[in-house]
Amino acid sequence: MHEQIRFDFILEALTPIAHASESIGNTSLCMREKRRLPDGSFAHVPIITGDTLRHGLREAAAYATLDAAGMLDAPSLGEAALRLLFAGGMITGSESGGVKLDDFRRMVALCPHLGLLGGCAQNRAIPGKVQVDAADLICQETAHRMPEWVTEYLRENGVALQSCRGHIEEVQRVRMDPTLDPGKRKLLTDGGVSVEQRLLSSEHGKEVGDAVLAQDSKSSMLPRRHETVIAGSLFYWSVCATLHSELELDTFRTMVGAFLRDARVGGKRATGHGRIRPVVAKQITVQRPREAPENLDAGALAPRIGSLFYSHVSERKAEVEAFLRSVDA
Amino acid sequence: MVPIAVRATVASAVALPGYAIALDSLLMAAVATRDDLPPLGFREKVEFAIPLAKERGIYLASLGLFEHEAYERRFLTKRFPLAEAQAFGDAKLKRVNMSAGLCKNYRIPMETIHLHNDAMTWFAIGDLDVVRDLLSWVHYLGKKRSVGLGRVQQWVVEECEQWDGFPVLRDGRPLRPLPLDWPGLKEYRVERRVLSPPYWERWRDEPCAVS
Repeated sequence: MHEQIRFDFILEALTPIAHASESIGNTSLCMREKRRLPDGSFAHVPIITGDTLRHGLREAAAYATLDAAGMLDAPSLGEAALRLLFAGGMITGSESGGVKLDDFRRMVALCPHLGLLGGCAQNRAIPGKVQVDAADLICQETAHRMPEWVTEYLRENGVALQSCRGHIEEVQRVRMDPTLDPGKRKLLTDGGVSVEQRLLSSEHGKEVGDAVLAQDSKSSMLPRRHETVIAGSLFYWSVCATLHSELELDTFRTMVGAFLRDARVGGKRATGHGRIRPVVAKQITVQRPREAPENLDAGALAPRIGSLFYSHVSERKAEVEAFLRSVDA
Repeated sequence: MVPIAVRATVASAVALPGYAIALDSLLMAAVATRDDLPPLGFREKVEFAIPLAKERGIYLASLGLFEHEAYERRFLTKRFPLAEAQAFGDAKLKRVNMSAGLCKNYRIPMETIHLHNDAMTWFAIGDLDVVRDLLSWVHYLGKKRSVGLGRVQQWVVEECEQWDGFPVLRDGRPLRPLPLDWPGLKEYRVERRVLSPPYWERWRDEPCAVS
């Protein structure tokens, strides 16, 4: 089998996405990348980076492997195995330069997703076979870059395109200082006397214009702002793999399906941010471009498939466990 | 073998932290992808057959030619999976040092380039059909392909006109690293470079003529 397969998706943000690139002061900025406009100029357009989505795939595949090997219930991983499964491993420098091909083949046979995503093991970086594109916000600035089927979908569903600026919202959150609440101050061992003194000296500092005193004794309330891509925004995402066996194909599908079943990206996931879901999916066999894209049921990608992957790993349960115990990554 | 021009149109920025991409190494990577070959070991000499002409052990193919249009900064980030370590770590895993050593988190800046007209071009003497076939296996160029950088939208491989010194020299300037005694060299710098793929084998470098 020799196939290059690409899954193309339209993703929808179910909740706001707080995928930050950097912070300036106490404001974190949304992740953006330059995109060329039809007139040749550039615009900074919000994206979900390929790194984030690829990590999501790696994590989903790692969990699927541990699940199939029956290792999810009993904590049994060492530092190296954790690094290899969830972060792609590290060059440890513990062996000479040669890659032991037997070891490499064994690793890929036991953990098929490592053959697809690559990583570092046995003192060598192993290239992956999966390319994960950044998810581009579908907006006026990127409309000209969208494949025809995406444009058609937007037209059929009457999706009006906005400028990317319309998809960004700046919000403020505040971490409260519990000592500002008199009720909570009563819970302190000294009944809140020390805190009240601090607050009084802060007020006094402000009254007399003593900035140092006011600063030293100020409360720890922390307002901060962040940009989010608003819920309901659509993204175009593409993931491509070079596959050489039915097992690899099934692993690839399992990985993508498992990730998209409950996909979350960016920060502030604990407070209702970053949920995405696939709206439409296409499978494209790249080597045969004349074939029409085949529709995929994205929601059902994982439950229906993956039988080959799961049976392959669970049949080698003991070997997978032994490998992960001894791996150097 | 005929003179050919290869043009890639890319859909995104490209990461090229080292030198420009050589067509011969790109074709060898395509062979490795097609045949699912395992990674090469250290000093393990393997040479794949690629459909390009060779002279004095050097493939007659240029490096990728392009102009920069815009630059962008991005970061490579690596974090130790701490939450997973707490959930699945065995009894022996008691401390993780995240400020030094193998589990250290990092965020390294890197630069990407937007190419003028989104295009990169190579010139070579080779078998047009086989080159075209092999390039259909190449969907991304440069580094960090795994996260979507350098995505190729289209390959155009066509026969082209030759000029004096084609395809490795143009107006006496080298279009790829060449030995210093290569005929026709006029304007060049001398740098230590590798003359044949894999180009990352720096221990094989030697003084070469470059533009």
